[in-house]
Amino acid sequence: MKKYLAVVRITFANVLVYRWEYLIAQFRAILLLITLYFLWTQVFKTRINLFNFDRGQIITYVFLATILRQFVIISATDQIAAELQSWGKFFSYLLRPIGYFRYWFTVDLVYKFSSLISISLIIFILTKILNITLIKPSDFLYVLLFVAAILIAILIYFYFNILVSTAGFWTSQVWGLQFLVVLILEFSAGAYFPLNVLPTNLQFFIKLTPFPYLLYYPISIFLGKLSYLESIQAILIAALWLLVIFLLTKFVWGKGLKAYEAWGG
Amino acid sequence: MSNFKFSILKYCKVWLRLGKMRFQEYYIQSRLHSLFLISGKLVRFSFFFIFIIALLTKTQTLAGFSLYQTLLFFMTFNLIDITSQFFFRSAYAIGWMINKGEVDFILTQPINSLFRIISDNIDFLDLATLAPVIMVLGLVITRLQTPITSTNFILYILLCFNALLIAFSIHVAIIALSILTQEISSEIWIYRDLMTMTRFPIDIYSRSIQLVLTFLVPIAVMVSFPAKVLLEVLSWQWIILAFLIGAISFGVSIRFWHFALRKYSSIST
Repeated sequence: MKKYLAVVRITFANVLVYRWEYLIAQFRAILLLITLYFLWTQVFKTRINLFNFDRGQIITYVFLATILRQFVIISATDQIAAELQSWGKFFSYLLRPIGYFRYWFTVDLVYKFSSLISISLIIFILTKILNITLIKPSDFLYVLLFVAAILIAILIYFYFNILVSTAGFWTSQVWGLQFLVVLILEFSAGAYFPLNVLPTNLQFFIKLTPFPYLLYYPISIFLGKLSYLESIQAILIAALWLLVIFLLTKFVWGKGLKAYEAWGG
Repeated sequence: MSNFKFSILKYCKVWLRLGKMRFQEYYIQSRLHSLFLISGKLVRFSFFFIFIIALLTKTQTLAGFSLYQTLLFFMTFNLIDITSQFFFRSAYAIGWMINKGEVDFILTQPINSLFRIISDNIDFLDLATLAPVIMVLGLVITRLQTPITSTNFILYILLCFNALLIAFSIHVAIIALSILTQEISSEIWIYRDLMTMTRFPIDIYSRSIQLVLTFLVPIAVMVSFPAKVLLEVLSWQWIILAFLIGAISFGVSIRFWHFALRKYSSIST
């Protein structure tokens, strides 16, 4: 446990060293939020309901999506691909008395919580300035279901990101793949708009992937868009996706370790 | 006159040589990487395109603009954004160039330093996405209900060039700021995100945000103004102001660049 506390301390120190970059990352998230807020405000000027959302629900959706994007879809594990290719850096981890995946999960948690605190603070100020009241879950059970959905979403993203990074075992050209995957993932997760907006065929196809379980379903649970039964069903499917991605990641990782050549100094 | 011609020819040759070098790097040595990058850009474009169509099919209008008019704003945004990335992508790597001593090396070369820095990373990958964007833009323009006069079309083209001038000025200012502070610049990403605010008509934003995006960081002048002139909803006073903003941005950024260059001291290893 002490080892991982040291990792927490070092990672947090790193966040503080690059505080300007860190602040800019938060500011960038806010710019997207401002665009979406004004877009939906304009859309709902002349109507009460659209895509099965009212104004309050859609505004809460975009605010919550911004917060969760900075919490769920944030991970340092994309660095793994680069480390696999860079002068034996990965090899140095194998010599340390520390679990590799546990190390990265600890690093991720520091990034996630520091990001969550700062983005929540910024959004709190923004809601006061814009005089926005966000919708709260109708009862406590929805809060619990929402938290469960988020915890699974974090783990899905963690293992999925490692899975993509494992490409680094075989090729140095991983950055392009990561760029493509993140773009598809963010749209399919509902980071920019609820999936209800998209044509039915596209929605159907996207809902067959694990991505909507990262943001779209957790937010739908929070907003009470799903019944208790539907919420539990969504959480169970998410858990199943987590298991599939976990097993797949372990399998590919094992294959990658056999192919790994620790060249470099 | 012949000296001037020789100079232009020399700069064209250097630009093409640098472009060829990057082309080899991106396409020939990293084909898979290029394929993923192009696919990613097309995916992002397609998702937003589908989103706008899905939204406007239900709402009919956005801030008073019809589906094809809204798509004109989106396509103009893509045109300006991709073209400026194609020409000025080096601004993204300026921090790296300073730290690795690339800037020191460039300063010793017998060529305009700003030209050499800004042309260091010509991204031909952007051309692969620019071609479909121009085709779709053409299609959108033909579907507009507003009759397009030749005057409006010429003004649209001129304002697009003006947008590139402003984009150039912003990139130069960011490069100069990095030279001055000698830090890895993140300002370029703020510019990129501000730019994405103009995917939709500027009229959706509050008055204060519109003012900021017109006068402080003239992103609206770059994207919304050309689209509006084609739709005949921009007065001649705003058109003159747009060109004035372009000229002032250019003048100020060049002066800032010279100021930064005078203060530059090497930090590379």
